Amino acid sequence: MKDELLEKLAEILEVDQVSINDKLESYEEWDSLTALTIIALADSDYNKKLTNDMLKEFKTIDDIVNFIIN
Amino acid sequence: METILITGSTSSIGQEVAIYLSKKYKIILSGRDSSKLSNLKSQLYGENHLIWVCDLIKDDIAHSLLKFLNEYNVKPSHFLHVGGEFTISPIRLQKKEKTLQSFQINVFSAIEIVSILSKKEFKKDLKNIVFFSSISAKRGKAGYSVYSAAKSSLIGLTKTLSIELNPIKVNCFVLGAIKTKATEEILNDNEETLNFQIPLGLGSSSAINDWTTFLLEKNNWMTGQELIIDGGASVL
Repeated sequence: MKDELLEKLAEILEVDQVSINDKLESYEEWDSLTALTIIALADSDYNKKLTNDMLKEFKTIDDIVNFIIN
Repeated sequence: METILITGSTSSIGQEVAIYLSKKYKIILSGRDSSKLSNLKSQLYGENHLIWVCDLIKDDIAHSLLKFLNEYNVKPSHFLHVGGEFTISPIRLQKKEKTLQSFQINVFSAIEIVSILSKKEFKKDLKNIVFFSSISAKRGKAGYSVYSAAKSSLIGLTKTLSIELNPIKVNCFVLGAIKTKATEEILNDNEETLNFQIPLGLGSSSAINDWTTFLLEKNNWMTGQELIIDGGASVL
């Protein structure tokens, strides 16, 4: 499940792969629309209510993964 | 008593409109979830309303509708296409399958239903078609591309069908931000900003009830029109 999520995040961020320690701001495609897409992904595929405010606090891929999977 | 077919009737706006109109009309509630539909039916005024279970994505809509109308021997006087699906995605991530699904539920479904309702046996009973479009069709916003294209298509249908199906009146609501159970969570977070961007503030479903009544019941000499109901947001 975690690998699958990492793959989906990689696709959204348009990179070959993401690693959990990557800083979100280091991605070229990291912007408000990408954030919105991750919120939509959390909701539709994982039934998790992620908010913009929460996402603003997140620093790394790990923060997103921890929230969505746990 | 006239009959109204309402797609997307278990959506927040669909429900409110259905309950409101059930005081005066026989309602055909349509949606894909039969238990939600039964529950909604029990909230309607009066007893003789009907349920047409149809999944606008998976089912053969035309076949299912024809079978339903013949089985219950009903001929709708009005068709409200509330059914739709809101999706948001950057264009760079848009997948064909998702694009088709959005168009299927927002637009193609309406085309199939109107196609049946405009056949000889139903056409003379049909008086009004109302499509529920969105202000996203008129105003640009990042991530809304496919949704906007689908909702814009309803405006195209409105223009052309008003001529082709004359004297059936075909009009289209172009709706702005309306506070419902479904949108409450998103809108609440941004209510302050939104109220700043919308001269009359966030909308409520009761406005839709009133506009629908106006289209269905008044001599308004109006067809082929898009009614922008957005609290004035688009003039700012």
